[in-house]
Amino acid sequence: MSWVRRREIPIAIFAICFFVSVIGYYFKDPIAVALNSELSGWIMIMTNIALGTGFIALFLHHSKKISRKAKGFPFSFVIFGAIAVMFIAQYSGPAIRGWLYNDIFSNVTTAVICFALFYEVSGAYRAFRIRNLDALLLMLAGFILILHFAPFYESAVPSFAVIPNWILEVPGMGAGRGIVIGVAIGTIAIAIRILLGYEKAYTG
Amino acid sequence: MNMSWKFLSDNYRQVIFIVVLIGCFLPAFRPFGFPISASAQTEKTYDFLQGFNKGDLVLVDIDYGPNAWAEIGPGVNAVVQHLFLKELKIVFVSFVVDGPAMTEKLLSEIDTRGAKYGVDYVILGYIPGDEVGMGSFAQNPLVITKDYYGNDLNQYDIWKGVKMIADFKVFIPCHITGPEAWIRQFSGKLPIVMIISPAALSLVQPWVNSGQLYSMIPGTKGGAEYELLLGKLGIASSIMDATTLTLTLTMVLIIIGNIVYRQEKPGSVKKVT
Repeated sequence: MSWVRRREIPIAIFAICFFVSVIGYYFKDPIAVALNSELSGWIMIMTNIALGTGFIALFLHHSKKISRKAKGFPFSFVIFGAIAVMFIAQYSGPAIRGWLYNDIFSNVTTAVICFALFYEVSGAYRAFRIRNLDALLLMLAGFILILHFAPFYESAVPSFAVIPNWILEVPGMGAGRGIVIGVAIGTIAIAIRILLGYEKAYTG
Repeated sequence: MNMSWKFLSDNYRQVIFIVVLIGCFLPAFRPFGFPISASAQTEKTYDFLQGFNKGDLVLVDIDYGPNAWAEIGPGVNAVVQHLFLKELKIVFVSFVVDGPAMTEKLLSEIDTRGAKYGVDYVILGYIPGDEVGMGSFAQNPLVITKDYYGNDLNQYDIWKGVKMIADFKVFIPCHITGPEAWIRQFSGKLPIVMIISPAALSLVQPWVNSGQLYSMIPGTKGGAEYELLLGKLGIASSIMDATTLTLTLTMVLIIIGNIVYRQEKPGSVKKVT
């Protein structure tokens, strides 16, 4: 096997970066801190490069789609047109850029996201039907949180705030802490698996 | 089954869509002015920022795109409006690509009271690398040498006051995701007031209780409460009218849904399409 394809190389790169970051973060040794800072700079540069490669991948994908006249290929022209317009607008001054981004793109995106509300209410209409005890509990929890997020009710009847606040601060916070601890343990476990060479997906 | 219940059962989606549409639009044409009251977290944030002196440096991190604006944007508007009213020096930074454009949108929507770019506020732009970018900036803000518009930062008066992250009196990250990355990189270096999606309340509450976050503002709802404290009602307050009306109608629809369900004959429930 060619040495460049050896699995040990990505593992070694990961291990070096891992230990530099951990030592730089937890210990205030000036050399480790400087190395960690340098490494952070590299990552920021690589992220910028990744944005460029992302653009090339997008360009190639839609170019192929147009050349093959694949399903929905006219929309690829829209993407190229949008990219060109935003590129020109970026260098045409803040007024044009602001008009395109704030007055058109931003409002259209917000409108699309807000469509979800219609389906959420439609879903709630069916999901909160009391078919059994579980559905009753689900509906009660839903009602309590609806009362919490509609500020009028807590303002009109301050005691309405007691139950939702208890839900958020006791069981909700317990679950939140569980998630945080779980994610942290999972991250450590993944790091150890990569260091030991069990995790290979990231090597491609 | 009664004809009207049958009509509702057969056309429930159309009826719901019309009701939601009315709930959202009616307050836009005729605001109801539903009363609201400020929560303890919002009051804590307001009192904290109110205690700052003119010219104090603050760092505002705009980490959301237009898709999250309705959820969090009006809350950010209210808090940043307070910063301008207090005549603080504001440095805007972003760790998401859309952040700088959203910062420009934010500044176009509030009263900046004649604040001058480079003197009273500056937009650093997008810093890539997600949490690594945050860590790098938190270690040394001077790694950034140019602003969003490509100009040298050293020419600006506001930037001359920045030597290290602790020079900022407060860090205000605004985002709709989990809070861990911001806390890991900035906690302990300066107080953090987080503006977050109300949906992330449970994830943020443990950090507030532990003291690693000073306080939090739950998105647009918190923004409406903040506008109330500022005495300057704005977009967040008007959105809360629509929220209250729509959620009330949702509760009514859920009750009607259960009545219709009881009226339906067993086995006649249609599959959801």
